[in-house]
Amino acid sequence: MTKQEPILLSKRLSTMDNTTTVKDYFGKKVYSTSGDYVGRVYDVVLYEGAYVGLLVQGRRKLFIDKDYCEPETVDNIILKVDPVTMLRGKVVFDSEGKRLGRVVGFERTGVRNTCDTILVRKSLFKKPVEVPYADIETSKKNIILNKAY
Amino acid sequence: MASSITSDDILGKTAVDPHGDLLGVVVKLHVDKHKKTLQGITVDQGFMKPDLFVGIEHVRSFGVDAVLLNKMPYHLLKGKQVLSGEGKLLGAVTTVLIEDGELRALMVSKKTGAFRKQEIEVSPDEIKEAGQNIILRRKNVLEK
Repeated sequence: MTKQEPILLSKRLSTMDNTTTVKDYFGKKVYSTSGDYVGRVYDVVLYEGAYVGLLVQGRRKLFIDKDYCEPETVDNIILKVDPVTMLRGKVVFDSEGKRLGRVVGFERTGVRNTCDTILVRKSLFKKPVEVPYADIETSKKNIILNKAY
Repeated sequence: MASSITSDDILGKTAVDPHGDLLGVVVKLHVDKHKKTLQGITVDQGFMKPDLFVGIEHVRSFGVDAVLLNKMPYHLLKGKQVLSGEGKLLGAVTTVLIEDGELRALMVSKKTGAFRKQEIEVSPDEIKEAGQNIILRRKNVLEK
């Protein structure tokens, strides 16, 4: 049995071609711009009737604004950014190969995908060290800084 | 002697690639017996994995806790999933073709049926990012 096409009652659309439904997003895998797995879409957020972003379940629940998503993606969703939340747990090395510890947190002033400082702790009983976000040279699998500490 | 280090300062340190990936532990130093210069290091990648020789030209610095490299070993791309710029899963890397130390192509294959396999070749220019997975550039970007 073929799927019945809906009858259109619209002032805006004359065909359903090139449209997506909210259901199309559910369960889709989300990858950061570096190719790291972020999580799966579990809900779509509308604001005043318009689509504004996705709720993603990864290690933590995330709301990702639609502006951070690459347009016209199929099967999976690719982001234009690496979410700052993914910094947590990464090992930090300074420019001279000294291991500073792991990222245990970060400080943000707003809700944008940036942070001011990352908090790096070497061991459980040591106080975390604040490292400015600008000192990060590469942040992929782990973090390498552009400065010696 | 202030800027010199000994083999003790290098052996046992973790080798870290430019992406911050921990490759393994430095277990050997290779010295040219005629020129008496350091040729490279051998990295033990762990159980059931072959040792990795890294030429001295690919070593960025000998650090206090790690040896930083300036080039990612291309063989690490094997097994990674490849996504198109539009988010479509193209398959996994089965072969990494390297010529003169440079990446020439990746062979990516995907199962399309019980006994069918689709294989495509990806050139390095098409790769946008290679992290946990590989993301290719969007087609319209390549055309430009």
